[in-house]
Amino acid sequence: MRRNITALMIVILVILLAFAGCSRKVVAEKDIQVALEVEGTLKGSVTVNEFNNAILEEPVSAEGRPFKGWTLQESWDESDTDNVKYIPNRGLVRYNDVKDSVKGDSRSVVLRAVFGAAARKDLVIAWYNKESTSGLNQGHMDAFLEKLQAYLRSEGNDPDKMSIAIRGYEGGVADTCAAISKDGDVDIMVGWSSTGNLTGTGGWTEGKDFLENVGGVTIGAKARYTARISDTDLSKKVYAWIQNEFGAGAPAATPAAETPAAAPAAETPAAEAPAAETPSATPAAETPAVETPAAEAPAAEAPAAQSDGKLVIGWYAKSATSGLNETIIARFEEAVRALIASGEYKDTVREIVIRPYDGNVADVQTAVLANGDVDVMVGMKAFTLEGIEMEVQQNIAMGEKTDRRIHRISDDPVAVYVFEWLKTEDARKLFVTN
Amino acid sequence: MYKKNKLMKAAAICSYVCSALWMIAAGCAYGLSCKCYWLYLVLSLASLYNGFVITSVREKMTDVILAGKEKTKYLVCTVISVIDLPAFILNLVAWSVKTDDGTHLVVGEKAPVAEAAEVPVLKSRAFKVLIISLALVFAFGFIGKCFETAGFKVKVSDFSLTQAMTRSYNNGEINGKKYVLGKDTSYSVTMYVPKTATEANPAPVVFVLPGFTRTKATMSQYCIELARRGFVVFCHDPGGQGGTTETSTSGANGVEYLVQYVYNNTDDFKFCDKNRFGAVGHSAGGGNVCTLASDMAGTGYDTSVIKAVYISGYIKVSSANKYTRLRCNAALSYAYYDEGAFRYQSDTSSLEVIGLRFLNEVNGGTNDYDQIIYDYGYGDMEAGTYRVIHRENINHCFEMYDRTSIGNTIEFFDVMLGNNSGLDAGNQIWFFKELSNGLALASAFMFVIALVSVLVKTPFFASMKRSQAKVIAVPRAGERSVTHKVIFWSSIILTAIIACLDYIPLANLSIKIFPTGNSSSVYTYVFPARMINAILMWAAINGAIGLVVFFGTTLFEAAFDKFVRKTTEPFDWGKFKGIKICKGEGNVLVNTLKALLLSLVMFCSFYLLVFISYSLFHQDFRFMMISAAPINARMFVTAIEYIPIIFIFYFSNSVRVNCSIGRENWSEWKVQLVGALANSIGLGFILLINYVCYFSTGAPFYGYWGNGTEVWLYINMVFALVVMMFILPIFNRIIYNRTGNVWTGALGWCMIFIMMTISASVSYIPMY
Repeated sequence: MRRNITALMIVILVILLAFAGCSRKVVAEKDIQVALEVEGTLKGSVTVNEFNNAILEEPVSAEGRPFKGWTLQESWDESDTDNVKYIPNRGLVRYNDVKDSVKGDSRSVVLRAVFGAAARKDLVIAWYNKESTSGLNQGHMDAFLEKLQAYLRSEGNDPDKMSIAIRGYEGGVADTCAAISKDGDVDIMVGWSSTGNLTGTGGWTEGKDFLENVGGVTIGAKARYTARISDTDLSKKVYAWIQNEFGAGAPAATPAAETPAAAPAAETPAAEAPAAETPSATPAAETPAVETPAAEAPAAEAPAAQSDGKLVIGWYAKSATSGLNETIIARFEEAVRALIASGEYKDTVREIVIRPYDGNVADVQTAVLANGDVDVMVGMKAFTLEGIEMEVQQNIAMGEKTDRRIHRISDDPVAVYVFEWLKTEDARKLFVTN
Repeated sequence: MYKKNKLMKAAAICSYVCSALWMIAAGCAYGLSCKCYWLYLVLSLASLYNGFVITSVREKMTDVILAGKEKTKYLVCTVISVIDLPAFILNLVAWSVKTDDGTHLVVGEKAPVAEAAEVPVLKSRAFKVLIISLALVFAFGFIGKCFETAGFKVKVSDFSLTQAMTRSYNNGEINGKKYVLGKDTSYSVTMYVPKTATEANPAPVVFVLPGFTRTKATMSQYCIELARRGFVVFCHDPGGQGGTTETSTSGANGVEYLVQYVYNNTDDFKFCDKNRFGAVGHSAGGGNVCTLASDMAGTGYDTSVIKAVYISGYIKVSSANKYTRLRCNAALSYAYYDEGAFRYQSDTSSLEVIGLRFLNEVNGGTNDYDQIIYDYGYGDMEAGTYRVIHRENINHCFEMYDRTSIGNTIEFFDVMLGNNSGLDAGNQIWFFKELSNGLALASAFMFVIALVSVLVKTPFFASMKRSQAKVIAVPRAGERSVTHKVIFWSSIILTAIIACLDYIPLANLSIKIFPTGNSSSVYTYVFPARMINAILMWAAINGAIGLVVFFGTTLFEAAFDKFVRKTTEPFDWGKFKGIKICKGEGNVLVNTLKALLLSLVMFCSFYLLVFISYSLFHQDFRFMMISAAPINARMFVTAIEYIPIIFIFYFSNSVRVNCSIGRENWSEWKVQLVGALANSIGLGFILLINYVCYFSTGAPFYGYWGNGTEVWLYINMVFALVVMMFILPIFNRIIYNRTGNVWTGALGWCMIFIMMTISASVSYIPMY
């Protein structure tokens, strides 16, 4: 009995000690004083520890040079600041950034500001470095840079003497928008989503954080948006060029070899690949972009330019789950083609693909993401695509099922048009077995 | 010889203790990514085996002067014990003892236990315990209710918010928006109405929202403290959690539907002051209430439906982007030791940056504060621009149980919603409700054990039990060979290390194996409890490893005895008897069915107690993160999926604690303690590794894993799991002692513990 009581007392004591330990924050922390040195002058200090970071104000160079970052290095070559090792954040210092550099008992380190040589770049283009969402990767952007340089040369500029940066931003929309705002030098961004996405998730204000945002721009594997942030002449000119070169109506920007091969051959019957895919068949593209001064004809005002000219509708071919079958889809396809042929987009849409997707939900999600060109998906229920915000119509009767959904994946105006049509009673009837 | 013997025993104990300390050092080194953890591990094992050998030498010692092989062994041990300094000193002193003091010890001898006389069932101790535990369950349920209702001054009731309800009270749109449930599903809501809230004297209202995987009962402390101060409080289970059947996270995880319903319902909520609505949420719930307040903000403080919002434990950038749209007074709290903070370490996402945004981006305007003073109120509460940021000295999962954190919340609403209750924020009683529920849980366990004890005495179940003598008798009582000890303890240490190291990789693997069930927006019938899938994997793998180790070491030991030691003693094959369902007085099939029936009785009796307690007193069984609550059909189906696979672990544990540890000829308390430690120490070391790293670097060891998967939430689950894993072997042992087989306890406790786990987690099963 005495043993049991002793054991119980020990357990209670340990628990009490553990709780007491949790409420004492002085035990584990090791403060580090971080002195901030700007161009040889001490500008103050901050304190960090394992659980407290410190915000650093952006230092200003006496010569107006742009701030590049903070470093723990004691010296570096001013003409080669690209090789300086910076701490990851420009406006924040963390314990883990400096803990290994603490020397002696003083528990202090010095962070030095590094400034670049050029005051400002001539042009900074940000791209959304999240391929599953933006369809862009480094290869696409390298090709893009080459085309941009060729365009600038054709305009009488010398890109070799210009300071041009093509900068990738990783993370979610909120994080990347915040990072772009923080950098403050981005002129144009490519690969992000609609204005609603930038203002909603991104937390930006139209007219303040960005000036315009236009969709249907295909630089990589997907038609995405491009936004203009700065108001310089070069920025406006390049922005217009991007839309003319990569927007709908422009020649296909993605080389054939780069187009994802995931689309099953059977999905695109030969008859569905019209001659209209030839660039020459698109009149708008025949006008060289450089001939249209951006200031006079902003691309954003030309709605036709926002569509990529291809409508892809996916359907869930697992009939037992979706209720859809070949008969229903044949009827549906006929109606879609009639709708497009008689509607406002009859001259815009060059190709209509109705593509089946089979397998479990995860497989379909992966395939749709891999294909990257699906505008509307019908017949799914639980369906998500990482990084893509979709508009959904739910509780739709399809075949024997009553709880199916239609997802609008892209912001292409043709997709929006078809999606709105799918809300009508006539369209809904197409899915019901009779 | 007595003195020398005692010194050697003390040296052996010191070696064991040092072994444990070296093991802890190894865990710490591993947590700090220091490669010397191998060295500590080797030192730990060396200390442990040193202890075995010293014990062995001591047991065989017949004379104070050791001779021959024993002397050499002890000499080597003494040298090795340099790594355990106290043991080394004791060994040196023992060497110096060369004269016999004339006292001799007999090791391993025990007094015979007298056979207990049979007593009638109704007069037996078990029956008395049964009655007492039943009484305690209800007594603690009643006490819990007393605290929850603040001495019956608050009416606590449940209701379901359905699609029809949201639709019927949608006539008055809120700031131009409609909030109608998309499907015919429901949210499970608990409402706390103080008696002071009347139509003539409407009370301020606070909506309370738990975080991911938590049920509304885990936020009852906020509800109790707010309600006893005169607030009407609504708390609901978010999508996929608890009693809610809605599966999506729309409407800010349901709270927008609830606010709309209460706001527009002029029939049933006349006691609510619609000009004084507030909301508080923790973790994901914090993000949800931020969304709620921004969606219902209107154009200014006057038109904002939510007048005060308290965002606890949530600082994502996407949430911070809504700060500027808030038109109400707001508080932000983030635990000082929040393990999730490692994710926010950039100059756009860190607490310091988000905190400044919280203070500066107010009501669409911009302030210019450049530093945060915690616990300091900024702005003007009359204009709805008041802001305050707290950092309580606690971690993420215990923040909602922290007295200071709860006090800050109470104080905020008391002032912001003009309640002025007069009660000090430090005056809190919720812990007594929590304690009552915890004691009710303990009483319920006691009830189940007592019920089994009573039932096995009835003729029906007594027939399935073999005689105790056959079960418990150990053929080789007393001395055990060093080889046996090495194998026994090595297997325990090995399985503990595996259990420690494979939990997070298996949690990561569970995300890959069950991809649909692991996405919060994808619903599936296949293992839909996203977080429990990690436990499922861990339990199945470690259960299987435990069984392999048990049978493998048994066969190895038998072969070693026969071929190497060439002993003539019969091997202890009796250890397998507990696994076999004996013939007893019936046949094996009948007794198997009886064993299963008894398991079912265990589960049903426990669940019935939970159900009755909840029905009578609105009290489930819980202590913080360990809980047992009534489950709905969704959770029941989910539990049925998990029980068969997780049973592998429970069976494995029952086998090892009863057929291996239980046959070491130890006293019962030692069997249970070693069993409990063996089963939980691996998980304990996960916490050790994680938090040593966390307190040393500010980032948990298990933050991201594999391909950048966030796994820190899986560590939060270990707090509850480690306690359950500690008591499981004890319970398995107790039931084994009463039934004589390892199956009944394993299955019964498996069903009970899975029910408990499922009822406190999230399930994405598409059942409405």
